[in-house]
Amino acid sequence: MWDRKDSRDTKETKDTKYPYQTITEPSMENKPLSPSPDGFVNIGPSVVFKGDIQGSEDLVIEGEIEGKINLKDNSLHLGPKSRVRAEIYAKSVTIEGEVQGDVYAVERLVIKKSGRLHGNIVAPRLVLEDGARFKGTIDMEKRVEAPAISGRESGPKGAVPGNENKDKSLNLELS
Amino acid sequence: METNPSGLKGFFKKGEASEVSPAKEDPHLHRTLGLKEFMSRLAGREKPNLLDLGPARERNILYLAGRGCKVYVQDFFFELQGARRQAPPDQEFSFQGFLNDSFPYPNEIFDGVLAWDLFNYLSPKDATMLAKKLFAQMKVGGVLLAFFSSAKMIPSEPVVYRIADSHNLHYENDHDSEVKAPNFTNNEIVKMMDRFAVVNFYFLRNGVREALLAKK
Repeated sequence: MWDRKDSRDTKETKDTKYPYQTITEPSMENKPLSPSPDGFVNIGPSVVFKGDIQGSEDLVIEGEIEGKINLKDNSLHLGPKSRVRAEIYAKSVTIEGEVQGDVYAVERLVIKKSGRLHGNIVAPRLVLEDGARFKGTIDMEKRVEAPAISGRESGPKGAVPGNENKDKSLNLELS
Repeated sequence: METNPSGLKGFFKKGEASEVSPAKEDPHLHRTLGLKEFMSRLAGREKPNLLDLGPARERNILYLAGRGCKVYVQDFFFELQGARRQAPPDQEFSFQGFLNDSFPYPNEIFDGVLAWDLFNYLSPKDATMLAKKLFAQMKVGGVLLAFFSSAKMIPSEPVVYRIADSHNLHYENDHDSEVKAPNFTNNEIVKMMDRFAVVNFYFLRNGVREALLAKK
């Protein structure tokens, strides 16, 4: 994982310290993750995770996530290769990959030109680059309320029925 | 990038100006007469639901949301093209089936629909089906704005319209190829939209007819 190219820094080499902690092993589920010194936690492109994610760190997702994501005071960045089927709640959200599910952004939502979102948006500010694909509704006046992350009674749109990993959760906490 | 939405290259005679002065400076900017009336009819409604059938554009969303609308975005033509491509080659594509599967909004939900020039790219039969579906999904008093070209040829795919202000639209067309325009007459449009009441037809000098229709 260390020698892969990252869109944020094309000069990255094997010797370059990757600024994010990267989750690559499913066995790390249910365990707190420490952020990098920069305060980001990264879920790498090889990760496929089904369950709920909540925490108080900024998060970068490059892999596949299905469930709910709740970062009430933090930002979420979904990289170009990310594939997310989740209800998302965060202070700010940037989408470069594919998302299916509703997005609640307390401050703002950015959909980059490579971004694809099929779901509803509640956010007071929206940046939508030309080329971005979006299908759903936009409500910029509604106040974003924090969802209850526990329980699975209201899963994301399009969530796969019979999810066998429905009790899994990932906590992002300062160590 | 093409600038003429109706596909009428050289439609404007030399020295002929568009109806709006900004177009002199920006060749992609064109007058609209229907948008202001369309928006004024939404103004009295509490948080109107508005369906935009074009691709998502930040400017349009911010313009509409800034006027209190809850905006629904569905790039109808893009999805239709995708559905056609995925259809089994040995089966006839069902437009009605596409409407049922990909257009599942409840009845009487929309206060307004921006169809842009989508109807130029549908057969009369399909256009009639879509109009019927939209009629059911619109509230009484809801309004539909649609553009029809009077040109012989139109861009091969719908123009992307970006709202500059209530009087001007910025036209985007990245496609060099053109197709034959359906050239619907007013009577054909009225017949296609037979359940709607015509609020007004606006004839623009660039060859576009803007039709503002209402559900009575």
